Amino acid sequence: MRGIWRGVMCAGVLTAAWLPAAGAAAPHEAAIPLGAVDSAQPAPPPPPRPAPRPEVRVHERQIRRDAERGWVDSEVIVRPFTGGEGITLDLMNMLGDVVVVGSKGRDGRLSIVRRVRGHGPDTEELLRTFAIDVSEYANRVAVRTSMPSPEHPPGRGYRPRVRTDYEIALPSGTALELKNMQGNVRLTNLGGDVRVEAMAGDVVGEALSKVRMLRSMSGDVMLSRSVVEGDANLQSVSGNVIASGVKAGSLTMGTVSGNVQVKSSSSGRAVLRTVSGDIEFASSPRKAGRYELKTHAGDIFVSTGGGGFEFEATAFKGDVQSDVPTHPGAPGSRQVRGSVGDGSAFFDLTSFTGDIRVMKKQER
Amino acid sequence: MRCEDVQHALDGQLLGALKREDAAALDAHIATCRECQAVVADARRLQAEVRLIGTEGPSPRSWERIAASLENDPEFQRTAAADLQSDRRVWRLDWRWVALAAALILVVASSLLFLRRSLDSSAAPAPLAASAPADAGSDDLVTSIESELDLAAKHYENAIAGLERVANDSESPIDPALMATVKTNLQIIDQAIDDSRQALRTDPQSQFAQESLFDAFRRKVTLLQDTISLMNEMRKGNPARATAIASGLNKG
Repeated sequence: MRGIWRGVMCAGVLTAAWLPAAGAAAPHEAAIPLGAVDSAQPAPPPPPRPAPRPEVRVHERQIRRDAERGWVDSEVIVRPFTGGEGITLDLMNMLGDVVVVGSKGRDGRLSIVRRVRGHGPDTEELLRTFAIDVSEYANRVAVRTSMPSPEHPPGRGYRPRVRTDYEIALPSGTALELKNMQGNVRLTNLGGDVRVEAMAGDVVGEALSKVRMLRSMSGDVMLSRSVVEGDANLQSVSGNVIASGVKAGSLTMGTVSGNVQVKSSSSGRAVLRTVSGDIEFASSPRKAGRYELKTHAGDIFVSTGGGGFEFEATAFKGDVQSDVPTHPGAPGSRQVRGSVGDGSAFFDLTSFTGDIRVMKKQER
Repeated sequence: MRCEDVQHALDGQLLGALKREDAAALDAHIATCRECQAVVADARRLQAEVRLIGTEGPSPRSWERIAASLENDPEFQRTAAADLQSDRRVWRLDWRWVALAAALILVVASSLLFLRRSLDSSAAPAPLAASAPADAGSDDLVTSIESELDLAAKHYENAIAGLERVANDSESPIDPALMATVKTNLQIIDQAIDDSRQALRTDPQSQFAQESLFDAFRRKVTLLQDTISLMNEMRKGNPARATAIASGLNKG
């Protein structure tokens, strides 16, 4: 660890020594007109900047770090709660990251860090006053952030930002209902029902058993290495939606402006949709599985590792390519059909302006 | 706890309003009562099935395909014929379904005709308007269905207009960057709607373009609804403002 820091510091020193010279050279070269190269005398190089003293560098680095982060932390609050089958953790957070990890037993734990970013006298006061309410009911644990209105509204231009970061140990079987307005959500090893709605931020799940909904308005949604009971529903508006190494009864995945990818996964049914993105299905179909892939302005790429399947591809303006024998579909349509092996699985592929490509072997 | 109280307690549990001691009593009762265990198991099975059904069923083309496969399956034909021979009640019941299916086909066909005409009002001739007087009865039926669908389409467009008005609220509590993202995505869907309309003008018979158009409509409604739902979440704690949003939806 110490070696890494030394390396980073050396790189920083070297970069600091090189940057002034490089930064000076570029504008100088750009300032000379092409036609005046012969006649114009090159401007003298700027005098070398003296290397800052170590204590100055430390001070500058601290200022830069404060400007980048600028968050004043409170102490970590730890709240235990009782979870288990039939109990739901209901969390609503306005701004901050949420990390949820499954744990054994029935004892859960919320580790909460409140952070305030801003300046002025109200900042410290704000940090003291905004509270986390944890209410335990028979089958529900509700967690809310409450921020009292300031007695004296701050002046114009004063914008303190308040965030709450959570690290949660969720007992096995506990359901999770999470709404996070802004910030990333990471879920790992959860056995209960999971329903997450993030407004701005990524939602990443791994080793989840019951995925009722993972959704982000603006951010990627990813699920990996999971065996899901029933349907796994992954949705975004502006972001990619990815399932990798997922085994589920069915997959429902959609976005508006983003790609949809299913890799090394298995499901009896899949409905994959996007409006302006591409769809990639790189998985083996199940026997008698049904897969509906639909995009408006993107391409569709299907590559299967094995198993028999039949497909029906319709591209209104684009082309359909395949490495399996195909024949035209319905008369007058731009539909192409093809079949591999026993043809038991079925792919319904439609793209309005994009191309469709179906390969029986996985290429990527 | 008695068996009569179990349903009420289950409702309370579903709403998150069951007290801890009542929950313990419920668990204790269920652990010992086989009948109530069955009730709980049924409720959970039903919940799971409802979740599996989802909000979207297979596309019409998928259903067509299933029907075609069944028609061509000799085993299905043989079994269906055997059932019809063995039980006349089933036979009668089947014909009721056939009648219902026929009615549904009529509605779907009429809706497609309506869609074609309404989207291509400048160029498309009215296919049934020029038919023979002998078809006047069916003309009336189709015209009636068209009117209904026209009305539904207007409601649909009004709903979108109302949703858009609310979503474009200048006092939106949503972060401006997120709101800009939402608007960008609405424009993307609008482009899809325009593409589909254009395709329908070129080829009014295109089922693909029709499906694409309605798909885009549905997506736009869903996105607008989600946006407003988000705004309501942000305004929780300010019921007066939430009421204003709800009333705004009804102004379409």
